[in-house]
Amino acid sequence: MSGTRSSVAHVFGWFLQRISALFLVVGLIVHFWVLHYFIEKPITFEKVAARLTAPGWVIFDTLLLLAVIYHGLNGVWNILVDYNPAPRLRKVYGWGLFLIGVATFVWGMITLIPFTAPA
Amino acid sequence: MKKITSLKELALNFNWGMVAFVLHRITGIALTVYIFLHIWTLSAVTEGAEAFNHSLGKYENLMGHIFEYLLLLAVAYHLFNGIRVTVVDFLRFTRQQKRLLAWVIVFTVIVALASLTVFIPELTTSA
Repeated sequence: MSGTRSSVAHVFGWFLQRISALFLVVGLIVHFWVLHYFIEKPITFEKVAARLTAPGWVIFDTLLLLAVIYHGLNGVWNILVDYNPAPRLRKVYGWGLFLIGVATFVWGMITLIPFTAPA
Repeated sequence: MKKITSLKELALNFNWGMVAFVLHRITGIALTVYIFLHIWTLSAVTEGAEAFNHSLGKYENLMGHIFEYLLLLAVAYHLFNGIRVTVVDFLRFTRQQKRLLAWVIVFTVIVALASLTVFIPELTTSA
């Protein structure tokens, strides 16, 4: 079953896992720094909303959300594939993870938007 | 095709690279599960600023702080080991991977020590 198309998809998945990892290395250090060292505790709606008045932070948080969802779910996919599932089960895993990813992204954006709305 | 290494096989053929691999998977799964908890916590904002502050407030206690600290440790290990895997992959550092693993431990311990009182302030304000 490992034709050219699935091989390309496999390499692409591996490559995207590295790209998202690279972004997460920088992004998570910034994320932890801003929310655990820089900000004064406790974290409140007002403080988060103040930061998110800058479009740059909204873009950063959106990219972080995208990268973490892809990286996490593709990682789970890699683990599942290691157990060599039957082709049908493989399809169920793939579509299941894809749908979970899309739903999580939508859920994350629904959570992000209220901070950007003028209070 | 054979299934992946079980814990029994790990015990029979012990090596630190395999421990690093298993730890990478465990922290990876834990962090992926955490994403859902994280968004769920923050999504209280859809019910207003008050609900959001109350939702985050649930972590403002010793248990919450320890949980966040463990989260940081999982991120630190996964991040540093991930860099090791990438370096070995791209720069063909296959022969140095064991020495690189020592650096992963060193960096993770530095983050762990440097962040301890930041994440768990209860340690400094003795009751």
